[in-house]
Order: sequence, then structure tokens, then C-alpha cells
Amino acid sequence: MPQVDMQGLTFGYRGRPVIEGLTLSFGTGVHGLLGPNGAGKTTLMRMLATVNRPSSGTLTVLGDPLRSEHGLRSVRRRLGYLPQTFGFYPRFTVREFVEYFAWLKEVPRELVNSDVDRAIERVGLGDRADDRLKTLSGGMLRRVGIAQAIVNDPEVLLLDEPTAGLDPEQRMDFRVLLRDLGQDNCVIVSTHLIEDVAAACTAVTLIDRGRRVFQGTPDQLIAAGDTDVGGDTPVERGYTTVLRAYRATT
Amino acid sequence: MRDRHDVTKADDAGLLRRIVRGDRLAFDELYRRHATWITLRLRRRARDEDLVTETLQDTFLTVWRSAGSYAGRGEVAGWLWTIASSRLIDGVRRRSRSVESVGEPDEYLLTTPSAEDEAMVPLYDARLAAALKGLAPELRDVLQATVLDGLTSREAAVLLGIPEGTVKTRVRRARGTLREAMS
Amino acid sequence: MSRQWHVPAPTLVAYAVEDLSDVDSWSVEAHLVACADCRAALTRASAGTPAAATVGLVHERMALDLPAQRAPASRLRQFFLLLRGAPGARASWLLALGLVLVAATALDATIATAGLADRGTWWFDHGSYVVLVAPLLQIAGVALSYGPWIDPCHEMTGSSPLGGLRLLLIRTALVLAAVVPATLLLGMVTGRGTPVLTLLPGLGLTTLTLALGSVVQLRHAALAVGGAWLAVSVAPLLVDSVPYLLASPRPAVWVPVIVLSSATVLLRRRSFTYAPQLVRS
Ligand SMILES: [Zn+2]
Repeated sequence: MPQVDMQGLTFGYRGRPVIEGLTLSFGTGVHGLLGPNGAGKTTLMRMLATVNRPSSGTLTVLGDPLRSEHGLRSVRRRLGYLPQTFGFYPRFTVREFVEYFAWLKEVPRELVNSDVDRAIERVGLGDRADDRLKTLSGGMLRRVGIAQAIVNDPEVLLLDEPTAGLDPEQRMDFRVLLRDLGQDNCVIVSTHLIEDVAAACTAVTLIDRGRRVFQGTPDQLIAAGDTDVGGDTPVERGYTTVLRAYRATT
Repeated sequence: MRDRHDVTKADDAGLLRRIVRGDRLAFDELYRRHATWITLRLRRRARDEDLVTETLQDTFLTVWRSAGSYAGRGEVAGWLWTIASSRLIDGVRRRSRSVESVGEPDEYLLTTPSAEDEAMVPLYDARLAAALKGLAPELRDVLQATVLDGLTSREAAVLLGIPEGTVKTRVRRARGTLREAMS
Repeated sequence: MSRQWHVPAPTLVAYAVEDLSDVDSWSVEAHLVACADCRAALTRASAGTPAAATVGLVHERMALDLPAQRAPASRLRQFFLLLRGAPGARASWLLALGLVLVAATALDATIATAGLADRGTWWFDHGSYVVLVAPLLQIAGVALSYGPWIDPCHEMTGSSPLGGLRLLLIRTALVLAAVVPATLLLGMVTGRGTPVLTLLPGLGLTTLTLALGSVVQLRHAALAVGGAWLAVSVAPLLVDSVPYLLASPRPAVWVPVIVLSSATVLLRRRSFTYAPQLVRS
């Protein structure tokens, strides 16, 4: 049973459909979620994070259809979420901030300290743990965001544009962390940086205007690419080819 | 002098209470009492020396930093092993980052059956012991991780480097084999 | 005779040099977790083995630098962090709310010179700015403690199990715990308005705000409830009649408000589970 399963998922905003009848599932591994601006990626991530409720269709996370308050709560304990607009409290230290979310995610009291340390170590901020967030660079803040997302060792991890603001070296480190996390969890990464997907993901899903365009491996996406299509890398060419073909038929 | 004396007389929970207050002597004593068996148990689960060293250090650093989190229930030794096994899994994760390697278990993680037939330890019924000995090594590894170490099948999958589904099927197979042998 | 069984010495030695079958090792390991004597014997038996070398190496490494210790994760610390995470816990907000309370107290102390207080009116004899303002502070505190419009981490909070109504209630309780004693104390100091006058309206308006907040956004609920409270309290003063809600505790009004509002919050608790739809794709 995949960790995340959607059947005919729909979400409308002020009468305008943003996600239209998506049927998709995500299992163990790192899944890249691609799509042009306005494709509905962030809306989809917010629904998977259980921040927004779908207008219709069913969303099953970790085997729970999210209908009861109790089920929702236990699913949320096993979720990690880094939103696209990562807000933070500037006066908190890294450790306090990650601990704050450990409490919010109901991590057992005897594990809070060690899990917080562990999450901070995993994103490579061990030496900055007692610094206030307002003194950190943009790239470090993203990593704090990732640390709060993984503090409860989530089984479903949702990262919305996690590499925004990271420099090339940090992005390399981040890809390593992603592969590490994806070994035994379902990690969904929404991004507009197509090369990140090619480098770190085991599967790719492409959506456009709230509908599924493509789901497969990065290699399959590359194989779909026409050589005469613009793009710097094979995977970008694949992306553009598939998207154009889809738009031509609708 | 008196301090030293106190430390060796305190029980493990007492040592932890003193570690919370920053008592290095108590920490050293706890380390002296527990480091060896934890190391040996780790070595049987990971044949990589560096990984064992790293895990042992991580474990006791965690104890030093968060001794106050010990809930005071159950054996301290059991609590220590919980920390050690989760640190071991972290270490394995760090080492096996390539997704491709998810397949059959790495060779070094499979312990080879030993011909040693030392005095039988009377924790198991002899028939059960014989049945366990007859199990294929990969089934034994899965049993060791899930039954003895109490890992979830997700954690066992990381430790053994096999997919979670495989862990579950192997546990089922091992149980079936044992049940047959016992009936 | 001791019933206690221990691992035989040869087995222990075999285990220490890692030359014991898996199955026997398991029983040794199961026993070791529960037996300090055998752990000590194992430590002695393992002298000179690779395991002992590892133990020595790690001990040396840790002797060089042990990190700073951590305060234990206590309930107290949890509440402290959950409170500090409240947007209203910012110094500027606290200062603003505190100033309002101080100003109200100052006005009470010198009421003869204040605007509404013409000699001989009800307000001159009985009125209290603290009583008027305290419930407003409470609903302001609640509105400032939760919601996408004020909490920069609202999306992450909203996907966590403690987020939603439970976090809102924790913070509401903390707001009440701060404002109620302060107003009671000030009421006693200035001697204007019996302290009990602030209790019921404060609780009533706070629960009413939460109830309304399950239908509209919390800040709008707070504005509506606060505005209504001011209108109902102050309007009679303008036409020089006795203000019904300020003159006495009126449990007949407030108890039903509290009960009905609380019931509404409970019944509509799901509306706090998901975020209001503010963000476009
Ligand atoms: Zn013993």
C-alpha cells in the first residue's frame, strides 16, 4: 500500500478549480513533483500536508482516509512538511525552533532532546544549534526548515521548493540528505529546479493546470525528450517535450 | 575519595541522576559498566569497525546530553540499547545513501553461523534452539532485528539494507518455519 | 540456593571474542540487558579483545570534549516554548497590552478629570476603565495568539497534531491566566469596580470570540465581539443611563453565553482542524 494515495482529488479556490480530479499515488522513495508556475503544485502539497481539505475526491495518507479527527491527528504525527513560504520566529534559536515543532508534533517527552539534536545534526547545523534564527543566512534557514520537518522522523515528508536559496554546494548536500531520507520514507519534493529532480529523485510526477501529465522514472522522462526541443539538459528537454505534447492535446 | 566510592555504589538510575547535574565521574562509571556489552552487541549487527565506534560514541554523547530525559521506568540498560540501536540505524543510513543498493543484504551484515557448540544457554527450549539454528542466516537476521532488538520493520529494513516488504515476508517465513519445527 | 541463572563463564568468553553461534548469542544478549553481574563479568572477560579496544578509543575521544548538557525536556519547557511561539508573545504586543492596562488604571485613579466622568453621573461614582478594557485585552490576546494572518509558521503548525484548536486553547488559557489576575489586582488597588465584575464578561467574551472564530476568521471575530462589547457598555453612558452590563456581574447573561459558546466551539472544533483558504496555488 503506497503511503500517499489520491483518487479523483479536486480542490477549488473561489470557484476556480486548481486541482482537477488527480489520481496519483506515492510510495517509498524520493518523488519529484514538477510543473510550470500555477500548475497547482503548492496547493497539492498543502492538501497532502493536511493543511487544506480537498473539495472532493479521497486522499489516503499512511492508510488513513483522514475522515476522523483521531485518524487525522495520528497521521499528522507521522508527517513532515516544509512549506514554500517558510515562516520562522527570528528570536528563537535553531534548537528552540526545532524543539517547538517536536512538541507540536507530539514527540514523546523522553525523546524530544535526542530527536531534536539528531534532526539538527542531519541538516549539518550542529555547530549553529544555539544561534538565533535572525543571524542565519537564507540557505541555513532552509536547512532549519528541513530540520523541523524531519524532527519526528516522518514517514511522509513533504518539501515545497526546499532548494530555494541554497547555494550549489548546499544543494549537493541536500541531494545526499534526500536520498538518505528516501531510503525508507515517502519523500515528495515539489520544485521548479528540474536538475534537482534528475539527480536525487527515484520517480517524477509532472502536473499541469491541476492535472497529471506524466508519472515515471527520471530516465523515462529523459527518454521522452526530443532533441530539437530547447533546454540545457536531457531531463529539461524531456520535461519540455512532455509538457508541450500534453498542452497540444488539451 | 568519597565521591569515587559513592559512584561505584550507586545504581544505574542514580548515576543518570548525577549525570543530569553534570557529574563526569558518574558518566565514566556508567560508561565503564555498559560500554562493553553495547559494543559487542553492535559489533554483531554491523561488521564495520568505524560504524561501531561512531555509534558507541553517539550513544554515550546522547546519554550525556539528555540523561534528564530518562523516564525512570524500566532497566537503564534497555534504555541505553534503544538509543544505541537508533543511532546504529542513523549510521547505516548515512553510509548507504545510494538508492540503488536497496536489494539483497550487504555481505558484511550477514553473520555466518558458527560451528561453536558451547554450553547451551537455557533460555530457549532445545527444540526451539535447534529450529533457530536451522534457519537460513537472512531469516535469523530479520528475527534478531525485529524480535530481539525490537525494531520496527521499517528500521530493520534500513539496518539490513533490504526493502520493508522483504522484512515482513522474511519474518512470516521465519515464524512459519519455527512453528512447523515446534509442532 | 539462588534461583538466579547466569551465563556460564565459557559462553561469556566465547561471546566476548565473538565466537558464539547466533542463537546462543541471542540468549546471552537477552540476559545481559537484565543482569548487571553478567555485564560486569563480560567486561572483565573481554579484556584485550577488539571490542575492548573500541571501548577504550571512544572513552579517550569523549574525554577530550564532552558537549554542553541539555536541560531535560519538561512539561514546563514545553509550555514555555508553545507560549513563546505565540505571535502575541512578541515584546511589542505585550508592551502595548500592558500600556493599555496601565492607562486604564491611571484613568481610574484620577477619574474625576477624565472625559466621561461628570460629577453626579453613574460613571463618576462607579465606573472603571479597567473593567471596561479587561475583556477587550483578553479577546485581543486570543486573536493575537493564533491564525494564518499573524503566525509566520501557521502552515507548519496547521499540519501538526497539536496545531488547530488544541494549541489555540492552550494559548487562550495562558492569556486568561495573565490578564485575569492582573485586572483583579488593579481593581483592588484603585478600588473602582468590584474585581468580580471583570471575571464573567472576560470569560464570556473570550468564549464568544472562539465560537465566532469557528465561523469567520479569528481576528474578525475578535473585532466584532470587542466592538459589540464597547457599544453595549458605552452607549448607555452617552445618554446618561445606567449601563446594564457594567453595573453588576449579570450571571443570567454571561453564564448562558459561556455555556453556549463553549458548546459551539466543541461542536465546530473541526473548523479549526484545517486552515482557512487564504493561499492561492
Ligand atoms: Zn547474569
